[in-house]
Amino acid sequence: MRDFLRFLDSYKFFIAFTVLQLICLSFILRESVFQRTILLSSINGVTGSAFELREDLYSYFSLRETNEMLLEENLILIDNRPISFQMIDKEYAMINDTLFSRRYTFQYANVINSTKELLDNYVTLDKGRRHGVEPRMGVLSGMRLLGRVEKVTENYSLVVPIIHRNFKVSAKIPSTGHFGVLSWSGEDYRYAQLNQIPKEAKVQVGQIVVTRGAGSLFPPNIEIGEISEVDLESGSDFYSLEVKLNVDMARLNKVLLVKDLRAQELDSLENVFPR
Amino acid sequence: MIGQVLPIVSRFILLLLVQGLLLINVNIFGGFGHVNLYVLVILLLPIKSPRLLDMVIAFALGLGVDMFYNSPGLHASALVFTAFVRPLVIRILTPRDDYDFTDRPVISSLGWLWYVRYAGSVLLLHSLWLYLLEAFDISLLGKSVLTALTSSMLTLVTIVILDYLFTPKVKL
Repeated sequence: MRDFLRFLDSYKFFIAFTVLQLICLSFILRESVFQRTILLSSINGVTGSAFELREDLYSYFSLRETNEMLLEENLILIDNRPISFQMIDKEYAMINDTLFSRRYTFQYANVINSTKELLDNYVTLDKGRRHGVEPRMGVLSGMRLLGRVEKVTENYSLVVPIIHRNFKVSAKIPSTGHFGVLSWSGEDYRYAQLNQIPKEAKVQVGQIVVTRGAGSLFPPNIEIGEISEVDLESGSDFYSLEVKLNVDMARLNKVLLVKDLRAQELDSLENVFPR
Repeated sequence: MIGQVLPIVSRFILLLLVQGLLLINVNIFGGFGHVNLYVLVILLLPIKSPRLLDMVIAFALGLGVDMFYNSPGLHASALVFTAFVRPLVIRILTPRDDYDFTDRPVISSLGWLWYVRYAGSVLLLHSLWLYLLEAFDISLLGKSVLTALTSSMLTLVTIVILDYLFTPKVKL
């Protein structure tokens, strides 16, 4: 017994070190497996409000850019107003009041913190459950794909952007019609990787990549980026493509949250067969 | 006692806020250079401070940093490791006639050479642990090691500048 105590005493630092490391490791693993540790993330009350205070100050410096971005979006809206369209001959025109039903709703949120050059990046927003934000909502910045909502607290939400190693989205190349999976390798925040495009596709540098609209996250045809590098390994049936992202991670300010009103219906249908 | 605790607590809070609100967005050399100034809290602990207490402080500080970085456990793990190896670095760097009771781990007390060796090795060990654990991916090994090297260099330069700015000048 005395030997054992002496053993404990001589190794007490190493034992303490191991115990603390095991606690840390359990946090790290819990994060990647269950991803439900709100207290240790930036959307808890303390860090959330600290980021919000800082953003109150910072937002004055980006008023001009915010303005330009809003003007750009306004232009798109004005462009789509009835005034820009001419009536087709009445005999053949359809009155389309019942042809469309609403599928997506949008809402604005402010970015109160974002990182872009870490290995796993996050964006923190100042809207939470109280404002109707839910996990798995899509997030756009200037009508370009940014990420998806991962965690929500009462007043804040945490977004996993494209440049996080856990992010995956089904993406399409409209000019060829092929689709694949877009993900991020962790290397450069300006580029993502598009895989599973079959080698039969006529892929070229400069082609646009958009969301496919599969699943219940994003509407189809949301801009992601353009192909910047085409690579086909010999013996492989699929391209590995570099996509230059259009979203500017360095200048995030206002973002759009997209809610899919049919998410539940679609998910319950697609989850009938487990993947 | 209070005279020893107060500076540590105030450095803890100040550096945590500076790191979490400002330095989190400071990245140079294309994402390879991060300024991890919060390690200074551990670096400035007294030379003969109790090792267990060091590790507990490191753990708490690490969890604080993790809250800002959304990385539960990661920074805590790296800092606990840092606090664990710091006494070893100090022992290796022992001057010929041992440390004086009044010695503090700052330039003005132990000199340039000692300080750069001390802070440099502690920072390098910390960054290596941090970025290798963060990636946990053999295909990102090169990037992790490069990030660790640049970040520890960058942090060392920042810390030396801060030490120079904030050390009261003693007139000889």
